[in-house]
Amino acid sequence: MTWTDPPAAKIDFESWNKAYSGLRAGISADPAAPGDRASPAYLETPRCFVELGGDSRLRSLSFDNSRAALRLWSFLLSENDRLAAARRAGKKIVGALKDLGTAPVIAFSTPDAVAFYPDGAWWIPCVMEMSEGLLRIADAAGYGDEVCPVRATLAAFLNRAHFPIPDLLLASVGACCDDMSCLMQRLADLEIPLLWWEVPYRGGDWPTPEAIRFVTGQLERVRRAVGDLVGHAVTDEMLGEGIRKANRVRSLLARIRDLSYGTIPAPFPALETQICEMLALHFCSDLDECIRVLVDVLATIERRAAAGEGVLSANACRAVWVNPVADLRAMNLFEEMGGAIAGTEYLFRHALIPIPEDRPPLIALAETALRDPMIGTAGYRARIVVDEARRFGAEGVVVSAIPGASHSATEGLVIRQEVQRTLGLPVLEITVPPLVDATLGQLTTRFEGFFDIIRSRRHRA
Amino acid sequence: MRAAALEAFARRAGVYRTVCGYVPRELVEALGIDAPRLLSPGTVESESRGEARSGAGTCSWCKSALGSESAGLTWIGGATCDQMRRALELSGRANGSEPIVIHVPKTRTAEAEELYVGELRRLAVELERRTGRALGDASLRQAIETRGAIRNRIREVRPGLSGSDFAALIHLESLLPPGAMMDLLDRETLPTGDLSGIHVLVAGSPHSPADLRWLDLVEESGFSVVADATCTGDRAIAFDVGLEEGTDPIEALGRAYFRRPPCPFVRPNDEFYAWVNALAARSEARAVIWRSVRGCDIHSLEVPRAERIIGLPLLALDMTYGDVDSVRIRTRVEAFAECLR
Repeated sequence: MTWTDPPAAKIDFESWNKAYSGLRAGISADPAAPGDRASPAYLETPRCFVELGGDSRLRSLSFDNSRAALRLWSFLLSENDRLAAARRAGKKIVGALKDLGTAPVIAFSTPDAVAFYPDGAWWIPCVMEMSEGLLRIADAAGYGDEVCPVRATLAAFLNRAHFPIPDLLLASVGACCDDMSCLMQRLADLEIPLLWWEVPYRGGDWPTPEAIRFVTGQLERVRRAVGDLVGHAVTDEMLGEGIRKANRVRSLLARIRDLSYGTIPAPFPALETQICEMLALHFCSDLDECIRVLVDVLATIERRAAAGEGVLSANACRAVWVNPVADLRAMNLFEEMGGAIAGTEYLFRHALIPIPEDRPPLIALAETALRDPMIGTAGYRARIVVDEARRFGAEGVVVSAIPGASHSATEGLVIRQEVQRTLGLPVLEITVPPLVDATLGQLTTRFEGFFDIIRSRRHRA
Repeated sequence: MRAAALEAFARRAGVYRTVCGYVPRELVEALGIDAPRLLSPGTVESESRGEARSGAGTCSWCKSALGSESAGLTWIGGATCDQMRRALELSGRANGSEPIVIHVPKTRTAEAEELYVGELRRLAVELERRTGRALGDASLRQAIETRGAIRNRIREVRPGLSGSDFAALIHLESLLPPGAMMDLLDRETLPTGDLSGIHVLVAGSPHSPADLRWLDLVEESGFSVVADATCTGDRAIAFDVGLEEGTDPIEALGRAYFRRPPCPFVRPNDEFYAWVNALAARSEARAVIWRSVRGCDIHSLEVPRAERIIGLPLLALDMTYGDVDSVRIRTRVEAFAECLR
């Protein structure tokens, strides 16, 4: 059987489950998905992730109705199984912390290691709707509400119930947020082998030669540590191949972003597009399959864009979204209230730009790591937001502050000032906690007010 | 001395302020620039003004700095903690002045030390460019020797001082030009503190001038502050710059500042605790009061580790500047003292 996607739409959890059996068969048999395996082992009914994995937040979300989206979600939600399988297969597990997109390229350059970001545990309280108690554990460990939701990572290391404990931690510090810096220092007490490496502050828009030299040296230390872990050197040739694959992911994402954020009506929802962007960080623990998943997504988006098919109204209010949200439901709500994403800045722009392939691999990785928006000024980030708004024709900007995050304390102000000074667009600042249910009313009202302003500006124009 | 510190704080001294102890004032002073260290006033008013210029989640120290009169000046600072480097950016945006920001490494490797020395060279070039003055080897050596002599003099008088008097003296060292500070040390008869209370080590966020009241509160509650591990305490004077013949003075300065007892933001921060434990033992501290200003992750999130690593009874306080001598804080400090008697 060959599956044909229904007309593009967003569907709820129950509809998604009903469609599952047909979708699964479609993925198994469709030769149009390049590199598709006979049957991706991770593909499961969404209900399965709720009942067996405890991911109860899925019940409250709405989803894209395509086969590619189902595959994307299944790939995301099955990551821990994949990590466990990698360990059983004798691979070493590398836990990268904070750098968001650089160290995993080195780890995935050897066939004997897989990498993931334990930081991603910040979504567990949302996805499991607090049933897992991670924030309570973090609180007891001295990391209360004043700390970014990434504190769930500490708790996940303490209760050892959510991901395999890595064989090696690569802790990136330097000009990073205080929350993660402190959290990593706590993790260093857990007797897991840990290598500190540093990415310095970048004052201007471009890194200095001294900074590139320094970070190249730091990445050499990372390379040696990974080599020591797997028992063989990670050569330049291996790194070159790893970079080429990472660039394949980045080029797919570039096209997905262009079409998703630049097409009216939007051919793919905000939530699924955010998940796609997140795959740039550590390829959800399987680089080759990650490429196949993204190829599938891109084919769907291209088909819809060519047919003028969208998941949102053509009149939706278009906004750049700044920062990832701790509760995925917030992205749904934004669209339900009449919004569409027209550009993003999710903290890791450096993981989306191509890594140069014409120079020694560690220098190329250092140059890319030093483009991290979080190690520079808030003004630099604001300029990324302004560029996105111009590029995708945004009508406003949503700065979604992360509660307790040290960078969120002041960045919103700078981004607002820059956006208003250069583009004169309205800016909405919201704070999204790990579960928005208690604040749904005020969030709804604030989106409504924001969209009212955008619509009134349209009428005046 | 308290009056002298407040007078020094109110002094209008040029347009530059150094931010954080990782910016060697020797380097700035060698160019003939008067650049006192920026101390947050620590008043409720400045904290409120600074919040309006930054955000509610900003730490109290940065808010107060941004709400101070110094916010209109050019800040020379380090990318130390995340909040501070963002405050540096905000200070520049508020008044159009362009802050000078160097990276202060967090890791403790030889490469990180080289990077820091390089950052000081970059700072020197930038200061030369802005002032049109040239940094001379002899003037830098002179500045290093003078500041070294000041630190040495303070170390000599330190054992007899009360906690708040010592903090006031460090404030003076941070605020006054070297000549004026030497004069003061020559001229003043420093008061002797009462060290009969429970010996306590204070640690955590830096002390603002208003925090001298908090230190008084601690000592009025039955403690004697015999050790101060903040960057406005013993840590400010616990190092020397080795200036052997033929040494490049910027390199000597960089190595000394890099190797001084570090701020707990370094990773790993074992050296900080090794120094604190030695200080606690030397001063016969029986307890620790770890005070974090509100919103300061670097200090507040260290509390569980500090308790474990230092191994002394520890009182953790999380305070805004509205709290410096509040009844709430006094009660907690007194209760802590009672537990130790």
